[in-house]
Amino acid sequence: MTVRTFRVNGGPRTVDVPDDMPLLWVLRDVLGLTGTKYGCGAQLCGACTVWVDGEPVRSCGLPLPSIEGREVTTIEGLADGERLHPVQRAFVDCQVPQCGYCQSGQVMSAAALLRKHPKPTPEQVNQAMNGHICRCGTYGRIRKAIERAAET
Amino acid sequence: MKIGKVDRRTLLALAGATTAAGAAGATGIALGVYQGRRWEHWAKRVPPRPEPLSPSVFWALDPEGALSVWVPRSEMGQGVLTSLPLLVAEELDVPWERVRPIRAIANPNFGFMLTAVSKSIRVLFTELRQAGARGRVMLIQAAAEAWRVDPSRCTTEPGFVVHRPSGRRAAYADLAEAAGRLAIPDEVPLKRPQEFRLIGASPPRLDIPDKLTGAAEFGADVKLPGMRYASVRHFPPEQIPQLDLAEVRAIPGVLGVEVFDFGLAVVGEHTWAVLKGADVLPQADTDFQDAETQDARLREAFERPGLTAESEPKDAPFPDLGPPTVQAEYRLPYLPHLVMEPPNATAWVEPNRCRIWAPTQSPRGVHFSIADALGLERSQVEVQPTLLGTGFGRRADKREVQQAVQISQRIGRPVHVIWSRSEDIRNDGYRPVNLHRMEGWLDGDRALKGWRHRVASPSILAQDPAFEGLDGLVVEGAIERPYAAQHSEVRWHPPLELNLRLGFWRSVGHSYNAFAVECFVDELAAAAGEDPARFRLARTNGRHAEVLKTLVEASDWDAPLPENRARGMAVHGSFGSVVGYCVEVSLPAVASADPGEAPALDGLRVERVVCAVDCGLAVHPDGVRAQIEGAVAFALSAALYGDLPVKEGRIRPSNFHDAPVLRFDEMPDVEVHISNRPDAPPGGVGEIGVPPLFPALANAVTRLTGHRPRRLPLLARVD
Repeated sequence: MTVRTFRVNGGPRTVDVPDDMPLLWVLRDVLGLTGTKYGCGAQLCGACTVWVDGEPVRSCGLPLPSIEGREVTTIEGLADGERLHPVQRAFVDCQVPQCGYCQSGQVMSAAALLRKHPKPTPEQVNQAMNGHICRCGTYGRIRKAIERAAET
Repeated sequence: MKIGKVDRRTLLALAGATTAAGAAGATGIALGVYQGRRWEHWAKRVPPRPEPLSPSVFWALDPEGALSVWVPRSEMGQGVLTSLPLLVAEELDVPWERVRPIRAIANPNFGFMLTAVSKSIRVLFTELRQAGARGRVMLIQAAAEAWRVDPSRCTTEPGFVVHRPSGRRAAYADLAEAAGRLAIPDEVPLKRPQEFRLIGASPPRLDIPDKLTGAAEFGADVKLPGMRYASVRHFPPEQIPQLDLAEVRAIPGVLGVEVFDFGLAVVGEHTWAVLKGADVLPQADTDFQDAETQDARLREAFERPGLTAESEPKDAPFPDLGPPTVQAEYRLPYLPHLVMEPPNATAWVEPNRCRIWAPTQSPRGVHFSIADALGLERSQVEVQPTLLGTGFGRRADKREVQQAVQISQRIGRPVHVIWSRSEDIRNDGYRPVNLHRMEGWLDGDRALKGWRHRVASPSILAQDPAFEGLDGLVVEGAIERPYAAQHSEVRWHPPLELNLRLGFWRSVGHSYNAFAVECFVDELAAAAGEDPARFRLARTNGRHAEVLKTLVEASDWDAPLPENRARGMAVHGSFGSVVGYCVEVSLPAVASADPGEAPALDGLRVERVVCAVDCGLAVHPDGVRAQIEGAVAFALSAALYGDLPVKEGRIRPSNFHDAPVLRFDEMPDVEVHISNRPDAPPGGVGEIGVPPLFPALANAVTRLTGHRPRRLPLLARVD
């Protein structure tokens, strides 16, 4: 057990957990931020995607020591108060989610993509989103939502 | 809106309300009595909120005029939290922004609650509309009495009663209390289709905002005070003594390893510890049959007479028609569900009480079985369905709920059980494996003279030793074809000794029979030298023919394509609806075909899918579109990659790297054409898009390569 301090959605957090506990479980089971999901535990499905210092990462494979002192953004911290992030708004406008389980990860990767490439090419979209599995098959609507968010 | 959170708080708060509910005449908190109009005898909200108008167990109008609708089906992505409240709001005439869905707890008041067979809308379409319409009549009556006018001169606009001659208006919020004192009318007239305001208009889904902010509550998200986490590993009991558990127990955060009839439960302080602990244990030693053995068992089944599911003319033995014009054998594998949210459940067993939170398709099934298992009255068991991170039939399975209950009972605390992905893949109830032997006879006029379809497949229902006779699910989609034949026969050949657990998998028997039937129709068309679309159109009529016509036109069926592209089609009726697909595929280069040899399909892409749907009245057309898009992705995953390799008795795949599913860049453009039939009853929607995708894809590949794939999956899996 080691005490680690990092920032989550703008505020400092200190936790005392086993060193090998991935960020995913610290967020979900220790900090109660359950918007970030467990789908595979092996960085294969993307459901656990959060940002560390603005970069999308798979939190299920990220040991806590590697984020000591860094800034984590989860789906709960993406909106600006009541004001949804443009990607969240575009996902609403395009009525993307079905079951919704993978959507936190999808939104975090899509939002990170648009931060880096405000007008992404289809190949850049593929590259950013290909690591995300959606069993409901919302891929087509996700592409449309990203295009829409890129227009605004 | 916080559907999930409000609901859970409500149920937690109910803990303190037993006495009040009891005093109100309930048999318990969770149980009411089904009486005629389903008057509930229990508080649905705690602390109780005034519900001035609630003439149905399904809805209540609050003093601010907001409409709460208790949804008695599980939301797994198919949209019931939107489409079912919509039916009440339509007839009650409430503005869409004021509608709040609440997931109903398991309760006989709500009647049947199993979410299956694409039946939610079909079963509740009239009942929920009637429930809303009665309330509208009561609100009009209340206004007319207050105004001392003739109620027949009053109408409603969303949220208001309006007196037409004077233009006088009153808000529902102000009328609700007076309306609530009136007698509930019997059957009242429903809106005519031309009066619909919400049905057919696709208002925004009510569950979407929470699913984009992390607020939506799935089964995996349930947290209770003092809760422990657990992950299970399934083992035959005799293998447990040989396991070395010291390494598991040494993991920080692991509190213990408990032995049960299903295997082991690693219990701990957080999910990480228990998943890690479960992962340390070896794979159970199983004796599942590999594909070769499965095939041998299925072939043996054809040696036995089997059971007749259909014969035309009725009860006549199939005549000797001579050698068939075409015969073919198709093979489809066992398939796991790969639900996005791994199986999980939360239970809290206390003396004389058990509470369950679970992503289940069968809350009442859970309710009954757990009450029986614990020897409790049904009123002592509460089951709160959470959101489901997909279902696909998998969550009709109750095992993880039973495990949560067993573990909670043993350790005396609330327990959340979650399976790892590998445990999910290796312990699923699988879509059955099957072989299909098809024979078809065309006569001189190219009419369909004979059709013979023999299915060798294990049966989901026959897993119950008490089951006898024909399992209709095995042959659904093989019988009731749209193509007339002079003589036809469909037989089921049950194999012996296949030993993998079976389960309901989105579209069930249709998922394999549509492949055999619609591939074989293309084979017959080829033998007749006819275009597959024309061949079908000449031999069918009614809804199937209309769907085919739409498809031919919308897909530019006759337009030429580049050499490395081809189209294939299929049409299939299921769950009260008919779906047709035109699938367009491409290969980087079409190898010069050696007709005897299967071509390599490396680089196969599904470019475009055009879909024509007749689902009767489409309650929420955008929801129908979404279900078809999703069904395309679901069926493509299975058609391209879906398999369950078994080696030396063990199921090989363990996660998405060796159980691949469709990825983002593989998703084709999907174009959905819904026939507008407002006067027809609604058909099913959630499953209908799955069955015809398999044959449409195989037919397209055949037209592209000149070689017909008769076994799925099409692409070799990662090993």
